[in-house]
Amino acid sequence: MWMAPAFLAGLVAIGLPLWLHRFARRTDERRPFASLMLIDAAQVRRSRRHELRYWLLLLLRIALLAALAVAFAGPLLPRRPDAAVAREAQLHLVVMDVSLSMQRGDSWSRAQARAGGIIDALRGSDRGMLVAADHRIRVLQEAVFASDAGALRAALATLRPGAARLDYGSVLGAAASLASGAGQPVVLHLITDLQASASPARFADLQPPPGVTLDVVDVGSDGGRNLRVADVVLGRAGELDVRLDGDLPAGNARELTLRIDDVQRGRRLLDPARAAPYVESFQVGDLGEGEHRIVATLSPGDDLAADDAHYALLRRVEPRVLVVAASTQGDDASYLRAALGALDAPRFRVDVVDAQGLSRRALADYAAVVVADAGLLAAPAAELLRRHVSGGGALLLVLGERTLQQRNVPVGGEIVTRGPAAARDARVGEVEQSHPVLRDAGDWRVLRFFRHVPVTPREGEQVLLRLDDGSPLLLEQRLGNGRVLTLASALDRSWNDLAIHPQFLRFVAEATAWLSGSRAEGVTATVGQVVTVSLGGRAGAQVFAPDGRRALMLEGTAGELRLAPDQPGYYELRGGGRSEWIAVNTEPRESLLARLPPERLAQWRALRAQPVPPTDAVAAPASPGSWLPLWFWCLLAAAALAFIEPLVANYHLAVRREQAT
Amino acid sequence: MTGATANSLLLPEALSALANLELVARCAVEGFFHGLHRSRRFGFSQEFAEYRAYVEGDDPRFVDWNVFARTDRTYIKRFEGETNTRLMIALDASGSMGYGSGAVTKLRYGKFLAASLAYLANQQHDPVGLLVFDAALRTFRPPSSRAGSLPGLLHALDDAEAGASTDLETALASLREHHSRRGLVAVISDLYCDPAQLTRAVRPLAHSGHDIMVFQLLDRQELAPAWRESVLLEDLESGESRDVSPDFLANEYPARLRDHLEGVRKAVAELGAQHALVVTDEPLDAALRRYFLFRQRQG
Repeated sequence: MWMAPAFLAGLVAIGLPLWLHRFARRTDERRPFASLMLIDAAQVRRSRRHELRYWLLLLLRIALLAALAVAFAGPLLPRRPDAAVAREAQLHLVVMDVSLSMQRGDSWSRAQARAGGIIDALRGSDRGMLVAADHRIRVLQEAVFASDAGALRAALATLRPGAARLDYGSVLGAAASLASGAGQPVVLHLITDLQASASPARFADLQPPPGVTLDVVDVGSDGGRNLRVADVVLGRAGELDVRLDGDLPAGNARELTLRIDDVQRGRRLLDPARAAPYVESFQVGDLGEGEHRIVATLSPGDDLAADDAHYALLRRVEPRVLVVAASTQGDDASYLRAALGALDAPRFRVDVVDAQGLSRRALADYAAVVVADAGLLAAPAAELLRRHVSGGGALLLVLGERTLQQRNVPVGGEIVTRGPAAARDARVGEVEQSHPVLRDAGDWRVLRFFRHVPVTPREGEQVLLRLDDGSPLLLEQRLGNGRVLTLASALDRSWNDLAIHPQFLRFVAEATAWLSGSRAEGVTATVGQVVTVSLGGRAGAQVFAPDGRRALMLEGTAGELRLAPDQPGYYELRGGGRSEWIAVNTEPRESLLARLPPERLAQWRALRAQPVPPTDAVAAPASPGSWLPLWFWCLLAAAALAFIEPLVANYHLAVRREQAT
Repeated sequence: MTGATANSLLLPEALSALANLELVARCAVEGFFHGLHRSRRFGFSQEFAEYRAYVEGDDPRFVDWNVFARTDRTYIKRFEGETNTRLMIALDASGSMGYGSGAVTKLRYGKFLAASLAYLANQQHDPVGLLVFDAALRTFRPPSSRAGSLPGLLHALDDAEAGASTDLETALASLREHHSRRGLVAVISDLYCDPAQLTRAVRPLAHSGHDIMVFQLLDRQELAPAWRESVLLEDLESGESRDVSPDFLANEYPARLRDHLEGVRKAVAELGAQHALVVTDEPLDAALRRYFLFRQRQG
């Protein structure tokens, strides 16, 4: 078997030394000499020895070229030429459940012991592979033979359970790819605590993949009681409600502690007589403006102590919004001021200026800018706003009567279609409800639009609302590090009836909050969940894990980061001279210690592996995994021959030149 | 002219540039004597030494006619340096003498040496003859000190070409037939023959009272082959060729050559003759010096 048999063509090069020796060995050039009287007797014997050395040198050279050609061709040797023994050999996939629930009691030590036993039982022809499974499947040690079982044990010794969740369905799905190409039967040893919540939604997902025999190793224990902090939310005025879930341990007094921004703000002894779930309220008063980190902790720890703390974030911010209108007393300014001022979460502080006053304002102080009619913006003002948005600012542009006079929408840059504005009774035809601004915005189709500014979206611009004739009504585009929302109809009764519908307040609130990033709740996630973090125009921002290490980031864009947290606590996003926090908690389902019912487990174990497709059955023995590559040894032999050849050649031929006469 | 310059003129490569063999001989001999600073014994000045009665074969030029006029007797003037030795030069012109790894073959070097010896003898008014041989006698010129004999001898030398195999025994036997009077015989050969054969060839001459000096000419490549690889050697006499390994040439051949040279030396010494091994890349004066040392010992 060869990896690249085309390289065997290099064996043709063997002809080179044969040719050279054939011609070099014969000395056809006659040299005159006075007399051979003194030469005759010894000549024959010497030539024979000579001949032998020539042959040795020739063989060395042929072997060198052959070893090189064979090394590049990549010879493969069957690891076990005995077919019967090869059939018996198995690949043992030792899959360790490293989810949060494995931290309970002595589950982990039992799991390590059972895994060690499986590794010790590997026979000489068997191979073992160690895999850790929680929200992701990680191969800790590639398949090795029993003789290299030390590598498996070393990897096992350093493995610890984490804080993420395991789904058995994902384990069996990954096993299919791990087993493919093994070239031998696979035994999947799943070492787990058989947590019921780890079951996939579909029972069929528990079926072993083709060619895989499932061995479920139970290392869990029954009868565990676990209480966890489920949530911390704002309650009535000045109160924080801590919701508890699970089982209160009988006879053990437990205490709930609340800390806000690293300061203890309350302690409460839990009543064992109460049944969970229940809520404990803490009076904390006005927390003040800003982002607050709230940690609720249960002590002492129960069977599963890892979920005894809950991390929450609460934002109390009053972002400033600048409204630009033709007149500070105009209808549009009044509508916008009233809509923004009516919001409670977040609570906006609204300033209104006319177009001339825009340049006198420090735009960096405002979380968002709302322009009542984009046509108000002269070129300098438009350029000022464009720079502001490109640097990470947010802008809500409303297109009105004055915009119709422009060729392009200022700042936004959309092309304004020439001619009178569409004047008919139009309604909303398409709504992009997946967008955060429109997700809870109600039914836009009840609104009536009498006029709008027909615009052509720019490349890459997203249309969130379209009228029933397909005209864009609400558009969103990224401009540098910032965002621009463009509403192609004025806030005027003669243009539409938006201002008299509740829809108006929701839209203004959601659009401004989304643009300014000023939601009341902070960013929260569970371990293993992918979180998208907006950088808000901050260059060089970094994220640090709760233990202080820099967090590994997933692929992201220039304006946002994608994070997959692997531990509970607060992740800190630093950059642009300020910090933001991301609260990460354990997966709630991991706190449920209920085990898989025996009958369910029996059904699972009774599931037979799917039959191996005939094509796979034929292909398996030819898998590269069952062959031993020999190219390295061939290359080593070539190197040794290359070292010996000049020595022999020098000794034999000396220097092929005559001494100076 | 300094001694070094004179010696450089005696290098075989320098002499080979001279087309005329007589000129070669004159340069070699005069250069040699210039380097010796002329001694009474070895010089060939024309200072009067003695008179002696004229005998048949003497050059009539040396008859002192004044004495003849006064006394009516013919006397020959003898000069300082004259030895009245009949020199016979036997030059081997076999195929093996045609070998040379450098600019000068052994045969050409032998011609230089023979010409120099002849020129020297001529200057001392000694009769000098020449025998060129290979497997057989090819040229023979009896010893003569007559005017004009030297150019003829040199022409004969010049005409000699490397021929077939060597038969020293036959060649020297024919010499004995043509040259019965005692004298000095200079044998110039590479002596690729069995020492016993050499003994058989030379012994009759030695028993006839000749003083014999054997110049054995060898090329540097014959003494120490420099080939470091297998080489196909072709015998210049037989045409036979053999593939020879560098090991053999480096180890066994020198021993064999050493044994051969020792055998030759012993054979020559047993006959009371003088042996001189001459390497063809040496200056010619080295060979001439040995010749004069030999002559000195012969008295």
